Amino acid sequence: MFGTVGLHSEHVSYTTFETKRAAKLLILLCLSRNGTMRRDELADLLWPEDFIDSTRLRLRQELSRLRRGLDANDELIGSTAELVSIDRSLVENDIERLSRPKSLAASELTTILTEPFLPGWDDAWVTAKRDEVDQLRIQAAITSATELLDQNEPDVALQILQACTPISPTNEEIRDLIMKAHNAMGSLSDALGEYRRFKMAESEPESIQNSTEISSFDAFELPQPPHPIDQFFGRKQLSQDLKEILQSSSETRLISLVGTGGIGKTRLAIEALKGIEQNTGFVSFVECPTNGSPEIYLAQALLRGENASDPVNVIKRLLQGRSCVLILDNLEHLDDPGRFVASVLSAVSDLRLIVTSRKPMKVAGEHTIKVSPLDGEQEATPMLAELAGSKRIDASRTAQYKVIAELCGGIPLTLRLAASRLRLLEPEELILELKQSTTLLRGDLPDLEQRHRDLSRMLRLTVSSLSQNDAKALLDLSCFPGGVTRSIVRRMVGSEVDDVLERLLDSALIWLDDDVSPLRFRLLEPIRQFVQEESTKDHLIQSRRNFVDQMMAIADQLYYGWNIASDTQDAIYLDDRENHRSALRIALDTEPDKALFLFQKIWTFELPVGQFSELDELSARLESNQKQNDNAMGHILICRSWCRSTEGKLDDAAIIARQSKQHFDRAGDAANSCYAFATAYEHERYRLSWDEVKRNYEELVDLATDHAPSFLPVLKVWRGTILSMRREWAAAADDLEIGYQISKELGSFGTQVYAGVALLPIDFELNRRDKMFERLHEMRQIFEFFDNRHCQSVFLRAEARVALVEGEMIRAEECSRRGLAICAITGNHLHAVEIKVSLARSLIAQGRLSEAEKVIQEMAPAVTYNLVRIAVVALACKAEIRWKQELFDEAKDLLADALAFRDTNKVDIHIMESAYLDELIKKMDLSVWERSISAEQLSAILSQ
Amino acid sequence: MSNLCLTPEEIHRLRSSFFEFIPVSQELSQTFYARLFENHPEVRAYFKSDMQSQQDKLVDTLAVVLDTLERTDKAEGILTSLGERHVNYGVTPELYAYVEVAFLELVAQYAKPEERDELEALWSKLMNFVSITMQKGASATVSTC
Repeated sequence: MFGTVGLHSEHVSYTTFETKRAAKLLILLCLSRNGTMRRDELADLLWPEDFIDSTRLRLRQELSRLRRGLDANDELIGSTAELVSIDRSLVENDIERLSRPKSLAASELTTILTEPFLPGWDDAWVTAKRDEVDQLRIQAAITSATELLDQNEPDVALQILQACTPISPTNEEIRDLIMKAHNAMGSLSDALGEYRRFKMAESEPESIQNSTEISSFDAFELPQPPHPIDQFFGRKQLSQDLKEILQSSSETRLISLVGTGGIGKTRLAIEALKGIEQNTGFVSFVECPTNGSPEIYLAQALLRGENASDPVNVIKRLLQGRSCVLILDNLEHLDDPGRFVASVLSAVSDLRLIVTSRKPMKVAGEHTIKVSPLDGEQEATPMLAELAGSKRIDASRTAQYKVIAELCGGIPLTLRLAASRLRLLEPEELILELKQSTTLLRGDLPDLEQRHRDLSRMLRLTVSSLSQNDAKALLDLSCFPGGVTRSIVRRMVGSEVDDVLERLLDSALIWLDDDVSPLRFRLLEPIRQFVQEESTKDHLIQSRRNFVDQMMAIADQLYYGWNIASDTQDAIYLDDRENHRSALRIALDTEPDKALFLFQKIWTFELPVGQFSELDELSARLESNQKQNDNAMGHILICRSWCRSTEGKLDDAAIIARQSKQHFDRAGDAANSCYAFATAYEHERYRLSWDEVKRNYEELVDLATDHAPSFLPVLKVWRGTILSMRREWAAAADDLEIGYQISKELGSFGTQVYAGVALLPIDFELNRRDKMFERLHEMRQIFEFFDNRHCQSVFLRAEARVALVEGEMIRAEECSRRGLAICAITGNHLHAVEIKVSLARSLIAQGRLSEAEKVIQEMAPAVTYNLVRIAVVALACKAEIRWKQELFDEAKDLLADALAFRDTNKVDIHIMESAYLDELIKKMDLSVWERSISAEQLSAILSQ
Repeated sequence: MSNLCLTPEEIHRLRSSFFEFIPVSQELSQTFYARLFENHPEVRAYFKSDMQSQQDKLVDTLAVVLDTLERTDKAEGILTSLGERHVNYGVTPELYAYVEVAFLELVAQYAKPEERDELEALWSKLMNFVSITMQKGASATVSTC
């Protein structure tokens, strides 16, 4: 019963059954007290929602399927008119075995402890049994481990106990036994570590999960399907079939729900998933975009707007191993949905997809379900009556509803619109209205087109009943693909905002998304498309123009806010990101100058999102319109420069920033010229001589003082960082303290963190440990409310370094791994490489040499990222590993290589890492390192 | 080379006593520092920062030392380098003596009455070894400066 369901004898195993219900029948019989159950009792458990009369026949069928599947005779599975039984003297189940743990081999018990109980089954009787089974498992582990400890086999006991911890991470008896096992194996450190881990799990259940890179992804809560606003009508069987496909062990990984807009594909998918998550643990829902890369969109949607520059990898790491069922909604908008679906399925091997679309995906293994209209009498008519809130349902009213339901084509969305009309009209009036609007003969159209026409007709009727003002408001709203807040609607329609929104909500043309804050009003996609298709060209152009203008005002406000408090505006931008991107694309087609304005305002917000290919595409389109406009070119190029630097291409980034500066100079825009210069300076300072850096900096400060004074604190921090690298501690501390304090006062947390992080090594060097810890504490507090992952990885990198110099290796490892998990999301390769040095050092110190060696191999690209200072330390780490392996000559050679490279190329090593090199020199008693080594050789040695 | 002569039984005894202390290790280390600062208020200046992590480090170090008692060269390596680092923190030889005394008072306070003498004697041996080895590391650093 654990992991899979099966019946095993000495000679043969049965693990597949004709139906899942047949397997359930077997389990129910096995779990029953004496192997016998009444037929009505079984039917009630197997088909809880059905009438008993209809289930008797179905039980008989399942019984014969079970017998067939097990090649069983009447002796094993017997039945009478009232009872069904299994011969319990012939069958023993896992739960009974669990109650006798001493009879189980350790490996067998470990398997039972780790495999889930009847995974994927959501029946109430299984769910209720799970807790009981878990208690049995814990008891079995305790009994078995206690005996093994008495027999002096602590390692085997430990294996069993550790298998049991995920079931009950805070069980004290398990904790005590694990500690005893460690103690018996001679490791008090591990016993102590285990005790602390349990204490941590008791107070903060997630804190352990966050300690490694992979499990950091596990902590992400996936976006959930929206909560339906009303009950689900009809399609019970279709929903049940879909549920069974999902729960069965069948290999169907792609289910396409195909049908016309408004037919209820999405609702059917959500309904089928109800209850599934209780067993599989994870379901998720993502509505697909109308433009851009769907992979990037999906990764971002799963991360809820966080950065995802390596989307397929992020999707894989978020979903792999979760046995997740993901609904991808509205795939018809994509150019090549089949390619997208295939790429997601191949990236995540245990993922199952339900996609909704107007057409099949045409991908191998696809199971297509055509979603048909609701049955007129059985389903559509009751739905209409319910939604219309009709209290008086006599025969004549039912007949009228039946006619309306037929005229609506049985499409749920059309029925919903009709129901809202029935609040204003009598049924006979609506019938007349609908009949008059029928201009085409239904029989001449293919089914799908006919349904679409039924929906269009109903939509047309509903929209035509709106006042001119409301219709215009609806068209305006339809231009916002990401929905719109009340305050924006107010800007468009004035003081009548609440009345207009109420009328549109009443007519079922818009819906209120209350999963977000502030609330957003949205149009369902078929309605949004209809409204835009039906409007006159002039009206649509006007509404789109209005939309672009609104987004320009929002972007301007955001940009202004960013200049004052920088990073805190990022989250606000992400809520409206789809609208901003859509406005920019519309403006690119129609009003290039507005496109430029939007681009200038939003690229800084787009940058941390990491969707560089889209930014490159947009900036290239803009560039083709703005070649002669130096100011525009300056902005386009500076954006490109930051894209390249985040990708680790610092040389390209510096060159592009210099070009940007030339454009701004020609345009006479001194403030932006200063910014472009600063960007170039930041990207090229690693490869310039100190004199050049100093000269550039002085020029830069002069420029900023005259033209961009708000930029001075950032410059102070940058200069302080360089001075600190040059060991000019007092001067560095002055600059950084000023940057730290000013940014703290301004609430510019990003700059504050950068300054604080740069001050830590100075505190260390000047032996101001109290100051160092105080600062660390202050910065830790910032991240309680400042959700900026780039800054967080910078901070964790620094925290890991501090832990290393303090000799706290486990803490250093934990900070490094958390930092790396964040870098994997943000795609920041530069930070990742730097953090890996700390991870490698912490592993070496803990004696985990092969793990450390692997980390060092991954750092070979440090040379190409222009992070040679990191490559030097990585090589020193490799030397230390060899030393610990007692390969003393090789260790000395490697360290000499690292030091020779450092000295020949005048590489500035971080002070905290410099102390590490000095320590190694002393340990290996190395005095001479005259040799020659190139960057390529350095990279090659690291990758070996 | 520092000398630590412990029989396998004594090592076992020391480890068992530490193992029993684990569930109260936090309280124990807190009391230790409180006692140390009470006896010698001037020592407080060395520990201005994060006391929680300082307390954890004390217990971690003891666990590592006890784990390596069969191989004293390993224990010595760890303690020597710890002593080296303590020079940078400005730790003086008297402080080691203060720590030893405060620690033994702690053992006396927490040990069961019937085990008190035995444990005090054993922990005294161990703390003496820790103190001497760390100071050796410290003096090596000072002499190379």
